[in-house]
Amino acid sequence: MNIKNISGIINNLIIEDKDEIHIKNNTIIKNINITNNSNAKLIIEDNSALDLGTIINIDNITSNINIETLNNTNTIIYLGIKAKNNNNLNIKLTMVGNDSNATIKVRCVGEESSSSKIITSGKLLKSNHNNTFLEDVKFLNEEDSYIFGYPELLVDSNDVVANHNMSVGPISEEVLFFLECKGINRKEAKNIIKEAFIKSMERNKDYE
Amino acid sequence: MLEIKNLNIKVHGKELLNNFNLTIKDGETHVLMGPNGTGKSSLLKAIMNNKEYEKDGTILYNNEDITNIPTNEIANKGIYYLSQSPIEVEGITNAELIKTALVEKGIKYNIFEFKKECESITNKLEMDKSFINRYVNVGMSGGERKKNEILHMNLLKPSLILLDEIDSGLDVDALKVIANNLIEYQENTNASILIITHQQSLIDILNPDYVHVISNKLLRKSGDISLAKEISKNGFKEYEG
Repeated sequence: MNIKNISGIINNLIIEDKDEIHIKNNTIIKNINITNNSNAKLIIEDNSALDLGTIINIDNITSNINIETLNNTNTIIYLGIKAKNNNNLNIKLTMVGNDSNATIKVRCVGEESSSSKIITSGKLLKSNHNNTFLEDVKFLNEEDSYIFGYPELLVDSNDVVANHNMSVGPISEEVLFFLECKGINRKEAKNIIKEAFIKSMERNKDYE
Repeated sequence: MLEIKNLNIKVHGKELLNNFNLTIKDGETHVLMGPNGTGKSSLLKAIMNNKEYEKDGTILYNNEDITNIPTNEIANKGIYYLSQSPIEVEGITNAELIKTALVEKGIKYNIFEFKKECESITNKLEMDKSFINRYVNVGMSGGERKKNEILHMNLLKPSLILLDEIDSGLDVDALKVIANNLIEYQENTNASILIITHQQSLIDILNPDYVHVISNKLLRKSGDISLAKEISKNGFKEYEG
């Protein structure tokens, strides 16, 4: 494994195969790059916080990212994804420690004629207590695109608050018509809807 | 000038309007009335070439055939449609939306003048100026959404305004504010208005040139404001064919 320790403000984190990234203290990650065929691990150390909010483009990517939270941690991951061509992205968060909060929000747009498999999963172990986990995943499909989503939540403890939801849908004809009625052409209207869909995640973050 | 000639409208194979004819000259206000489900809203959406509707016949705007041209091109010819229930668009602000629409229209705007104009219109509409930077209709009440759409209208400067039940969701004061704004806009621009409403107080303020009654797929009667008053009093029974 390639062990890396990070903390503070990280403008761009490159996640590569066999990386084991230890998040310490308060860490804000502004952008990430996930390399193809990577199998990486992120560990949120005791008494640390991770705030990751970014929009990424994935294009023919197959990657597994395993996140582990230890004791008294706070993890916020807001991931906007623009998926092109064929992708297989697996994000798994396991709450190993206690007294922690974790939120994963994903907004993924499947660009025209793309086919992606996005799996987000949470795991709360039997021996843990006082953890909170929220998983909120939404996909938007452009014409002829396909996204396979699999939101998994494994809860093996009674002392947790866990919540997850997933939705998938096409670009709304009603919204397209609304924008076209303002004089915006269909292609640009679709772009607005796609950008707005991903950006809406940021607004929720502000409110939190 | 809008001219609708021999228009038939169907949705999912079901006929909604048959052989509909209407001419609206510049600066005129027309009110459309009729029982629920008689195709009034469909007519407005069909004018905007909503794909849900099949139609034959001809719709001319300023002598150009707009029957089958894309919706955005119809809008950019100066026709503004305000739906009965304006939808929310999360992630894009009013300012961003209108600036994009102005660019699409080929209108160059000065950012400082745009801001000033936004503030002046929000002030007239008794809206907080922060609305301009809010996501389109998100978290707004029914009345606020209608005002928000009237804000868009003022900024996009159409020459024909299609309004579908603008009064729904509006309190008495908000209704007056919007009606007065429409009158002021019309006086300044000589725009035409085609409005679906059954609200007599709004009809009185707008003082339409023509009132039309649609029932059972047909345009049953056209008249002046006295027709609206008569319907207010007696309902649509007389027009059920």
